[in-house]
Amino acid sequence: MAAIQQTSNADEIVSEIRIAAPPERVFQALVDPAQVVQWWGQAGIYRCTKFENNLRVGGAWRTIGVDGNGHHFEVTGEYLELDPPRLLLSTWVATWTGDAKTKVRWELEPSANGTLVRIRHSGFASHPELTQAYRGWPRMLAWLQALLEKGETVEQRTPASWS
Amino acid sequence: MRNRSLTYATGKAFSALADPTRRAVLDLLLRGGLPAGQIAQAFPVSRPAISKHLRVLRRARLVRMHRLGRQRWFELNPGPLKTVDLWLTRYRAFWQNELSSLKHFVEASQAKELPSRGKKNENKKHRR
Repeated sequence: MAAIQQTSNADEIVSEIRIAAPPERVFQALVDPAQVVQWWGQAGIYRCTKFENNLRVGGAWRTIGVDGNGHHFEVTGEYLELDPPRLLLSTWVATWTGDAKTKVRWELEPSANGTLVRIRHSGFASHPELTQAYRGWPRMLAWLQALLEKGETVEQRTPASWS
Repeated sequence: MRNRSLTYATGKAFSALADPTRRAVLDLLLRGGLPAGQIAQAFPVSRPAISKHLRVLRRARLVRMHRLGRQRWFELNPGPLKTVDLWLTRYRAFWQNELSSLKHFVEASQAKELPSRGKKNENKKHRR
């Protein structure tokens, strides 16, 4: 398994993973509504049930999902920068963190056997209390990797049982 | 008795926290959940040793684990950490009291010294 790197500073959480798939393929998995719901989640933790977007700069995106306790959540945002298949920058507003608006930036770098996928979640300098609300990026990257390398979807994944 | 039950409930957590490597594992997980292999790579000790530390942390319920494919993913479990914090809270009040006693003591003794300090400053001024 490719190593997941997780670093952070006062304003930014950075997580990265190497995925054995070309950047074009990774980019599609991030923006194609039919693909997003295939990988984003695991029963018992949370899963996205719906994803819709208007893929242009200034366009909106929204995802609806259900967490491990059966509670609904929603994340909305606006695309600020789009440079397929290298870059995707959008705002991020999640129901579990109120009105706080942060930014999520996906950077896809082609590498010898695939793509170095880096996610930068920033804006915590003005919302330091939220840092702990975003500890799930490494796992999310592993889900993305499972779809792209093994074709594993949320449906096929064994539900998480905590112990 | 209420206090005693709190003390006993946190026993496992405190013995787990007594080890520096296990505290470092918790620090690592503060940034996010990780698979066991990734946690092991972050430390200069053997993989079985890290597995053992993770087991102790899990038994103390300071971390929790789930499987994702063949990986075992670990993340912090907030509940028991809260109990540790709750136990410490009583001592926080204690040392805050101590600190305010210290503050009173220092300020009182400084007040006594002030007149002589004032003189020194005056001397300096005269020299200039």
